[in-house]
Amino acid sequence: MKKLYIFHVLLLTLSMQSCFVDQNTATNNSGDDLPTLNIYTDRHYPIDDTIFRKFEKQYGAKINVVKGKSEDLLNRIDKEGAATKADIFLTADVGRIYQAKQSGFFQPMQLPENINFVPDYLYDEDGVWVGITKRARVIVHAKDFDASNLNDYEDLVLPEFKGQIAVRSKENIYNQSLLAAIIANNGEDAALEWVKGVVANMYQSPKGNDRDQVKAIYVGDAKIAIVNTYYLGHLLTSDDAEEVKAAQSIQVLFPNQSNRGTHINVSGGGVLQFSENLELAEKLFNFLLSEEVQKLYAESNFEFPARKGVPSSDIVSQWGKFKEDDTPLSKIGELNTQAIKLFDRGGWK
Amino acid sequence: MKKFLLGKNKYLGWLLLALTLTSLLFFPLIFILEGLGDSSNENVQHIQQYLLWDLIRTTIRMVLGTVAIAVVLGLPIAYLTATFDFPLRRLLRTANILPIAVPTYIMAFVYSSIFSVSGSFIKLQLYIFGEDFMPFRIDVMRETWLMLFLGFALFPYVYSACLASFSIQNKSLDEAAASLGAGAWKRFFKLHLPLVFPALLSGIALVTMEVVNDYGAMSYFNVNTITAGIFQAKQMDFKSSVYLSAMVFIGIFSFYMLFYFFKSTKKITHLTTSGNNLKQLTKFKRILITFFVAIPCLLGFIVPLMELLYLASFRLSTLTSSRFLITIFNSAQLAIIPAIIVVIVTLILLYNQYINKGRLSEFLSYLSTLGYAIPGAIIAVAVMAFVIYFDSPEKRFYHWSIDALVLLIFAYILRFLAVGYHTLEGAFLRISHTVPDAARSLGASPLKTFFRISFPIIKPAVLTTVAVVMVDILKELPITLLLQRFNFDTLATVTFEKVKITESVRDASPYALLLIFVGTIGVLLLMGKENKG
Repeated sequence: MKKLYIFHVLLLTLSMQSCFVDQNTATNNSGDDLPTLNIYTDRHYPIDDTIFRKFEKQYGAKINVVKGKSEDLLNRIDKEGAATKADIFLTADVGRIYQAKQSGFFQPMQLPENINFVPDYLYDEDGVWVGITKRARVIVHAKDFDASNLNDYEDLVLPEFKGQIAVRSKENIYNQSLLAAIIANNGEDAALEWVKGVVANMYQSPKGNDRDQVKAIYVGDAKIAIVNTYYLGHLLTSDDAEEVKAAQSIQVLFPNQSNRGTHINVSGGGVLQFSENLELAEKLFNFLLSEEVQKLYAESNFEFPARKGVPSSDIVSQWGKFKEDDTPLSKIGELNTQAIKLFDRGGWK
Repeated sequence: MKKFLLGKNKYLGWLLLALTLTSLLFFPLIFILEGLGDSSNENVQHIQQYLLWDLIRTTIRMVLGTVAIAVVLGLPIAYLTATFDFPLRRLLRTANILPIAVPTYIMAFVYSSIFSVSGSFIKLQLYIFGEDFMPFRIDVMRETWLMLFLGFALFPYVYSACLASFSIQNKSLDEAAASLGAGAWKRFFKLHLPLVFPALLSGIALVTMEVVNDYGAMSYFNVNTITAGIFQAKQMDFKSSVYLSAMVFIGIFSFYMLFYFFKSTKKITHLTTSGNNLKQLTKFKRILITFFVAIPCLLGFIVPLMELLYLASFRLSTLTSSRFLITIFNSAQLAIIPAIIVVIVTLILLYNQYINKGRLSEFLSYLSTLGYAIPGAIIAVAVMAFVIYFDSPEKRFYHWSIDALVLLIFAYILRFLAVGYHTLEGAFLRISHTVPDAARSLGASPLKTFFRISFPIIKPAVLTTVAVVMVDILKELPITLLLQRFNFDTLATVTFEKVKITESVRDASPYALLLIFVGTIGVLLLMGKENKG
């Protein structure tokens, strides 16, 4: 009897297995007439799924997705080489986009019509990748804190802010891009001094995520933090009352308004070298930059639309308009590795 | 020489089968060495110059700290549970295994969530003492606290290994020692501890490998172990991690081989068991023991479970979403198949060791368990490189193996064979081989003897092993992320996505909870069978 039971379990799992395979092959090119786009993405947001479903409906296409960490996905694209099934690589940081370009993973695409509405520093000069959404890396401080001497990222090193800064680790890609922007604008030596200065002013060795940095201000451990606007939006709309209070306890400051502007990073991607679906992929990028989709990104994910003229969500807009650093993002991507090295040299954990 | 390698019995068919399986499991790992050609990479030089020592020191610190906590939690309760009778003993005996269902990263996130500014620890104080109370805060985002949290999740490895070993110790030895006037403590340290030492060591080995492999918890606490170093190398240039991975592989492999010779010279066999009569104690002592034995599963299971239940109560709508249901189904089916294969392979290796008693058979088994010592991300890349290397230019086999999840399952087997092997080895060594020996001398084939005699005896342990391996696979993250096919989620990948990307433990809680539930059910069902057996 028991033997029979085990046998049945085996049989059941094996049949489940095979039905999964069937379902999967149906979603790929074979056995299905729908034109298909396969995407490797490091954007793990529900809104992306919604937008892909919209595209499928509108263009009679099918979109398949593998969600993973950028570094893993790049590794996979590299190993798969010409045999890869992936058509598009999407990620939420320009450093990884640059690595993909440098590795020759992208093929040139005809820039979508809608690119005319996107500032030129948000897409690649060779036309191999485009930015879809933006995030700003801002300074926030306690509302009761005298921030009159705090205007630029560069001011964070002032001795008067000793023991007051909360920021996460060097592993965070948004910190890496911020430092890359500082290298691009001020040079390597100045950037190294900046790293050392900020390290000297940290209230503790970096830990936790962006939300934790805001909470450190809320409870009074720190006075200043460097965070991403995206997470501030999430905190303000959290269903945890304490998180909302934490977000309300801080003031957002857009740095460097009197000079180069606040650092921004992009989500974006390009068409992979061995994709045979270039035309459909181009349609997708055009679609992602359409007014309708850009509004969706802005409203549901607290990101800034890449397209000019599309308003940000109410939550994000309340911090006011700001001047962006228009250093080409490809330059910032290029300096990513150098930024990681500077963090190590300057002792930023 | 030939006799030394093959042993007395030359069942070449079994030996060849074991050899084939071991080669299949070991060969892909050689592809990790591809990275050695890349030593001039300047990113690698940078890591060597600025980070390497720090990474190694931190790794050693984390391993020592977590192992210490796992031993302190796991060893005494194993001894007490195996030796004394106390209230709730049977329940706690199983309950202390359950923290194994909680992945280390979930343990770390849940505990830091409990003690965070908006966490339950603060809320509880405000609830008890009123809103105006100035709550007492504990900053747990420290390395030492992380050791503790990892210890909560990992002590069952020590506990279960030691429990089995304590349970089969000969009670008459203890009685003899007692009659000669040795006190309880002296008997524990002088008699029981040396006997349990090999089991303790294999428990410690498992904890060590888990700590080295952890990325999620370490990254959140910003504790940079060698795994973090590999990740940074990947960030600088995804290719520069391969050199570091190769170095890590060589290091682990050397250590692993050293351990083999150390282990084989120190092998202690103590197969004699006597009646399993538990010692009776005074009522006060019994209650004290119950209280003490309950602490580890309280910290490692009940507390995180309560917190997750509380957090999930804000996300009830998730429970009915179709993504949630599909994800549960994906995870369950993905875990059970490799778990069964792991057990089958383990049985072949063990049985081969038993009928071909040579050193070679033993070595084959040892070599095929190497995968557990190697970080998952490295294994995934190696397996991918291995298949692609031998495939046709169109890579049909590779694509099929990704789509059919065969590659993922293969990587799981490679990584988790050790878990199956260590869990089953104890049971296999314990069975008396007189009956199968007799059956074979009467002319029954090894295969027939195995199915008719050996297998029925160890069947309960086989089921436990399936459960334990299944739980490990459910928790697995790096391999799953790298080798997944299109449109595929597991409970572990979604939990990771919510915690890491949205930074919300609350969003992750339903998935984390289900991950733990599925694991728990597996453990309970199959352990129940073992108890009956």
